[in-house]
Amino acid sequence: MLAILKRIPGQIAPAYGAFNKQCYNIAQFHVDAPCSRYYAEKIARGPLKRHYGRNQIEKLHNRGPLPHDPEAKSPLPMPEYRPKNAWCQKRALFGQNDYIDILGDGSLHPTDTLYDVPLWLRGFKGNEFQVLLRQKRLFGHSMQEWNPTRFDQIDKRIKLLYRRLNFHRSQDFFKK
Amino acid sequence: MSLIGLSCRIFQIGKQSKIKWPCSHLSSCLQQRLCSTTSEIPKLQHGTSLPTIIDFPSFQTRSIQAPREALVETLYDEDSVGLVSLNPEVFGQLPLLHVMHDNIKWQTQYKHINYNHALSRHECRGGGRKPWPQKGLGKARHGSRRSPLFLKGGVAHGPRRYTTKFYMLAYGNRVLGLTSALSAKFAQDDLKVVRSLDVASSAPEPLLELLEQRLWGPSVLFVHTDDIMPEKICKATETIGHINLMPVYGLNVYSMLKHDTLVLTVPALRLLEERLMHAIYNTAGAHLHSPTQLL
Repeated sequence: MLAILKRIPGQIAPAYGAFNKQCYNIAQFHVDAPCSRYYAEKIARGPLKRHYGRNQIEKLHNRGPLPHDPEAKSPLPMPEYRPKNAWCQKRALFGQNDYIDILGDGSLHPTDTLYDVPLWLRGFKGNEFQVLLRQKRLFGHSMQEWNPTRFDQIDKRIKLLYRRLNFHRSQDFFKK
Repeated sequence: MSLIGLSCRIFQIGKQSKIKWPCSHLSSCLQQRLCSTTSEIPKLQHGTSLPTIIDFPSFQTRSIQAPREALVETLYDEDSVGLVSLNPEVFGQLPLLHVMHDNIKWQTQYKHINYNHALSRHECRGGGRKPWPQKGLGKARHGSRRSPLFLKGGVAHGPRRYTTKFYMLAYGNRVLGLTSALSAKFAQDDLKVVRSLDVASSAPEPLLELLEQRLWGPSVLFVHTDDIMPEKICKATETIGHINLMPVYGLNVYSMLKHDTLVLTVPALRLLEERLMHAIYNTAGAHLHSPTQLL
C-alpha cells in the first residue's frame, strides 16, 4: 500500500485487475491534492443528492412529525402537551416511609404503610391464578351473596387457568 | 483528647476556612465544654451571639477513615454556628450508582399495581348461541359472537386486573442505597446541616430569598427528627411544592435524589447515624450485605 501511495501521478499504472485500479485511484487522490481543503470543498459542493424515489426529491419533507400532507392547511391533530406538576404533594413526597424498617423504631415494615394499595394486595405477588385464588378465599362468601355473577366468572376463570397451567405442558415446565 | 490537640485542631480549621473562628475568645468554660464528649448543642435564644460549636464524634465506628465534617448553620442568621463530625460509614462511602438505581427501581415497583382489565370471551355478555349453522352456508364455522375474532368480542391474553410487581430489595442493599445517596449528596456539597428549623418569619418569600442567597436548591428537603415541625417553617413551606419537610423515618433514596439539596438538623443527623449504624452492624441483616460493598 505504501508503495502505491508513493507513485508519481502522471505515471500510468499497469492494470492488474479491479483491485489494482482501486488502489491507483486512492493513490492519485492522496498525491494530487495534498493541499486540497476537503471540508470546504464538500460544503461548496452543496448537499449530496441521493435517490429518494422517482421524481420525489423536490417534494420531500424533512421536517416535522410524520406523516406529511403537503396539501393540508392545518397540522395533523395531536393532543396538546400538558406537563404534569412534578411537585404536587403526591410526586414531591413519593417514596416516603419506604425505609421505615431501617430508619424507624423498628415497629413498622414498609408494606404496612402502603395505604394506596388494597389491604389484601399489600406485600403480595402472584400470577392471575394466585390472585384469583386469594380473592376467592378472602371474599368468596360475601361475593357469592352480593355479586354472584362475578363469583361465577372467577370460578370459571380459575378452572380454565388450572387446566391451562397444569395440563398440556411438557415435563420440562414442571422440572423447573 | 488533650486540650492542646484540640486548640491546634481549631486553629488549623480557622486557617483553612474563610469563616472567622473566635479562637481568641475561647474562654476556659468554653474549652471545658469543648473537651466534654457530649454531642449536645446548648440551646441559645435568638439574637444572642452564638459561640463556636465543635462537635466531636460521639459515634463508634470500625472504619479507619477520618470522620467527615460539616458546617452547622441556622435558618435565621447568616453566620455559621460551628462544625459537626459525620460518621464516615454513613457519609463517606463510595456512591454506588447501580445500588441507588436498584433502590429507586424497587421504590417505584413494590407498591405498583396494574388495574388494567380486558374481558375474556367467557366474561362478555351474550355469545351463547351459535351464530349460524356449521355447514351449508359457505361461511366460516363459528360458535360464539364473543370470540376474539369477532368485532366486540372478548380479548385473548389481555391485561388482567391486580397485576402486582411487589418484591422486597435485600435489607443490606437498601442500607447501602441510603448510605450511597447520603455520601453522594455530601460529596457534591448538597448536604447541609442546620442547628434547627427555626426561621425568622412564616412567610415563604424570606425563606426563598435565603435559599437563593446560599445557593441551596431550587428544591430543598428539610429533615427533622419527628414529624412535628416548628410552626413557622410549616407555614412558610406550605404553598411551595418544591420545598418539603420530612421526618427521619420517612427519608428515602428517591426523595434524596429528587431534591437538589438535603438539609438535616443536628439531632436528625445524629438519629440518622444511630439508626443506620445499627442497620449496618445488625446481625439480622448482616448476611444480606451485598459483596458490592467491598468495591
